[in-house]
Amino acid sequence: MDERILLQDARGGDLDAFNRLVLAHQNHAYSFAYRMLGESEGAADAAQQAFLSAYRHLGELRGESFRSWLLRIVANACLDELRRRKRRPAVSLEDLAAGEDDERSDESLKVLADPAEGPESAVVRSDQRRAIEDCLALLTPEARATVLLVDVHALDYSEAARALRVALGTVKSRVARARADLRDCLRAKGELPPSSHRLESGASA
Amino acid sequence: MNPMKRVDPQLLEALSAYLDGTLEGAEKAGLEARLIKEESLRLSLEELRSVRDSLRSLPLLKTPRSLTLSPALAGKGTEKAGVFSPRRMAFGSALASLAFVCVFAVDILSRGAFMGAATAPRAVSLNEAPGTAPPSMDNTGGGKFSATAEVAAPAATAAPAQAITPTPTLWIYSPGTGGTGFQPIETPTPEPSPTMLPPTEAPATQRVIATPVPPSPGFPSILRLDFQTIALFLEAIFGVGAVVMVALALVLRRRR
Repeated sequence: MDERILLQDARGGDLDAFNRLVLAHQNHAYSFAYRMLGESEGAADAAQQAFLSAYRHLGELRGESFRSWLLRIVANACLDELRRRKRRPAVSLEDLAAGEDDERSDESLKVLADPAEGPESAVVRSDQRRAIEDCLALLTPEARATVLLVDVHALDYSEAARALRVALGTVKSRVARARADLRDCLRAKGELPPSSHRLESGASA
Repeated sequence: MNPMKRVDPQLLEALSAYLDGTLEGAEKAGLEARLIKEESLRLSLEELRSVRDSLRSLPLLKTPRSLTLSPALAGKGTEKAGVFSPRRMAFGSALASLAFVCVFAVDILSRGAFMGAATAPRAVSLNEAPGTAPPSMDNTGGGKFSATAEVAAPAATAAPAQAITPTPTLWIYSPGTGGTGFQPIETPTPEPSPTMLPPTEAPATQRVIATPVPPSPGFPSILRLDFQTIALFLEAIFGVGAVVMVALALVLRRRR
């Protein structure tokens, strides 16, 4: 069904219509939250709170896609949560790192599978994905949120700027710097394709 | 060799923007001219493209549970934002506390105001001739000291009335004069009225005279009655309101 109609019905108090929107966008919200927070349960909680907040404030959504608006709510919830954790760390950093490793390993099995992908390709893809997510975790929360919004969730610069309440120029510089840092990290892990392959890919793209 | 290390931040930003198609005008033309000439810059661009493609290839993760909102969850959200929001409930609790304070305040004030009315004598029996002794501050017995700021009515002692005089005596209270501070003042003898005249059959030593009721330290009698009614009414309103608010807060807290 058309998203606009669902939104209109949801604004009128139709919870079923809103839940259809949730089903359509819950993986986006959860993926973003998981890559921001690094753990599954907290990510699911943050995403659900974001949906609840979205349901309560549907009237404030004007002239913006529901997905970018939702991601804005999730992004701010995650950044707030990370700041809160930084102020009051509940566990030691070693425990947190070990927990994140375990979570990421478990989570690697829960991606939305591509049925056309063969087993070998799936293994290579899985290793590369894990390397990228490990490198993403090393970025600052602000840089991570920015690059996730722009490169993973395909928001344009202005949408990302609005979501993170920063200037357009800030988004541009954050994205460039994050990509450079990720590139260095992937190179160190041996997960960046060789230059010749990159140039071939670039020529064919 | 790491070509990215050699790229200054501004050029890096321009390359990233060019990759995303957001570079325009002269800046774009200038960068394209340099890309044709400089292989290292082309390599840097391809590295950025590779990173971006890797990020874009990240799959969506599957939620460990459905994030749809149940009616209860959505209702809870509505309740939070609605009439029974935590902020409003906190305000209600504060209001209930204030109401309790008001109940006690009105109660205490009304007791203080009524005390004067309750202790003001309507009739005073005298056991001595007027002018023989100032009124005592004794609060025992049927009579009691009652005075305005300037005029004091004679008070009775604890002993039963022995001698009666038909002439009431007014006393003036003068602090610093020693003793109890009361001084008798001369007043014209009022015309006897039926209420002041003793019954003819009563023994002379047992007669009780009515004295003019001095104004109470509180309010006039009519106002006192009104104030009493209003105070009782306010007490009832505040008390019921406070109990309702507290009960509502407790019920809602349990429901949560």
